[in-house]
Amino acid sequence: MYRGRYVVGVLISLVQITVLYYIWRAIMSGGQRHAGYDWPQMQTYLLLSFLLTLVLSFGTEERVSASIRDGSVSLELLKPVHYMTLRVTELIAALFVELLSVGLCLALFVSTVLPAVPPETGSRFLLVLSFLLAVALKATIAITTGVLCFWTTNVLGLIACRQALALMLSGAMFPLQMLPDWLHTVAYALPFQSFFNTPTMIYFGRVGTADAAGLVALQGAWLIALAGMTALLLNRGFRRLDSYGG
Amino acid sequence: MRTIEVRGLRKEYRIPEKEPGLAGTVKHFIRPRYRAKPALAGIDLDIEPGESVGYLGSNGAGKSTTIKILTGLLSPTDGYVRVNGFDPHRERKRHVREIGAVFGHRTGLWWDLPVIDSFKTLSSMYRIPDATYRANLKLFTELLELEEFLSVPVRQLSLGQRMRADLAAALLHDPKLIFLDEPTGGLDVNSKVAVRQFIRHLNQQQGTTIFLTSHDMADIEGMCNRLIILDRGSAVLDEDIDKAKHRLAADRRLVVTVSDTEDVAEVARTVHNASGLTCTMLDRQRLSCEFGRTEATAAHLVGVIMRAHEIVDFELREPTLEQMVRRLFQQPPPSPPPAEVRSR
Repeated sequence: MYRGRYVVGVLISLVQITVLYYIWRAIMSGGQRHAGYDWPQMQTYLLLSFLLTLVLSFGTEERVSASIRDGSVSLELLKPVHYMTLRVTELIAALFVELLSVGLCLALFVSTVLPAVPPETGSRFLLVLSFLLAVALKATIAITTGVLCFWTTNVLGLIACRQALALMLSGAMFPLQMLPDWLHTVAYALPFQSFFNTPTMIYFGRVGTADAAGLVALQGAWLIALAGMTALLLNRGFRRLDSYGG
Repeated sequence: MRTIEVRGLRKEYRIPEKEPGLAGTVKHFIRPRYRAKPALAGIDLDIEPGESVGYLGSNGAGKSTTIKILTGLLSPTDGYVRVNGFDPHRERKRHVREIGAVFGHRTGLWWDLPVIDSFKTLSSMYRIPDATYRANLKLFTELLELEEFLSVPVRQLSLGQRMRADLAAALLHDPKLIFLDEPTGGLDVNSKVAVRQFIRHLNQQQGTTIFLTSHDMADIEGMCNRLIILDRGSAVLDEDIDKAKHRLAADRRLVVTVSDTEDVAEVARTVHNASGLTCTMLDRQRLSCEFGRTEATAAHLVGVIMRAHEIVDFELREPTLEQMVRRLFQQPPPSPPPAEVRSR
């Protein structure tokens, strides 16, 4: 049952990336550049998108929210650890399993269809940091979504909403430069671009080291803000639980 | 230091107040109204190290609320609570390190992990020394017969197996105090006996303090030395279990069926003359005599009747816990009372 679910999860991601790949191949068949990317770069862009979309994607929110929805969250308080620590540890464990499968897909892709362009960045350190922060942000927002289940049981709705926003405004589907100016501004004001746009911009050397450092700092700021908000929500959630009787 | 010290513990819940029907639902959606429902109305508890306390009460009496407050899961609305010297809710993380807790209807294990993996996770969570972990694992595996399902994921265990695994999990870190909320609920007779023996063993061999709730009087008789009965948020009884049984179970009932050649009224007179007891006639052949433990023995009564009359059958009915509790609350018993001990 679990094996099946996992395999289906990987397959769906593969279908998504394949569809995206052919759409972009059609768009770029004329040979012109889009948002400054040529075809080999765009292929690598899609690969990165695939990678970051897949990480922490297998029912992470469902898993995080499960204990809140079924009420066993109060029992988790019997363990001598903080709720967030418990969740983060679980996510890290899941990450290991996922990296295995993602790594496998990646190797398969790079060796067959997609010749990846090596990073053209000034700072390897910022690049790695921005990827790590992107993953940390994704984990945090998954926990935030899960914690919202103290107030609503509609976790699927919350996930769909989060996914739609992330898909359009993170740059995972197309580079943010292709958005109209006003939407571009909106995207940069929201946390989603920190999930994907920042690491890819640095990867392709689209920003100077100073700007890159600024974007990474922004990622860090979002991480702190979201984690703080989640901690606050969690606190309120537990107080609510307390007054309703667990 | 007392293991548990509670003064004037109160807990109120907020419950939504909804008017019936669609209109009520809409109204509640737009402007929800709540009222405070008292769950605990001022509880005092003093529990010494090594005691074994049975906490008894009907559904909604406040048993689970008490146990959740003592384990730090819920905060008290009012009152003073100290467990092992900790304020359970405020000092939750340090407090839960010192206790073990099992909630019968929920599992503290990881659903998808094999039992042994859950144990290992707990071992690092509680920072259990390696030697302690191995010694306890060995002991519990033996006492609770865990061997056959240590490598099975928790979701595939039977209820009895899961309960045994949960018990072991709650005790790996050597807590000196354990809370058990309905530990035998839904278990079959064999599993119940295994659980009881295990708890008894902990209490007597290792001096572990036990605080348990149950509906099952046999549970409490089998595991506890002290009985606390809770009703509508207040403790209505708190004493040594043998004394409580003696006092509450004062009235037993002997139901005698005589042969059809006998006159029941005559039999009743015989009993009255011999022991001063007044018996009630149930029908033409049966009569029922209630007597306290101090007034007579069943053997004596049966002897008295048999010497003068021909008996076809007799039953001795011990009052059930339910009857005892009802007696305590001075409510009339329903008829007919269920028999617990039956002898022919």
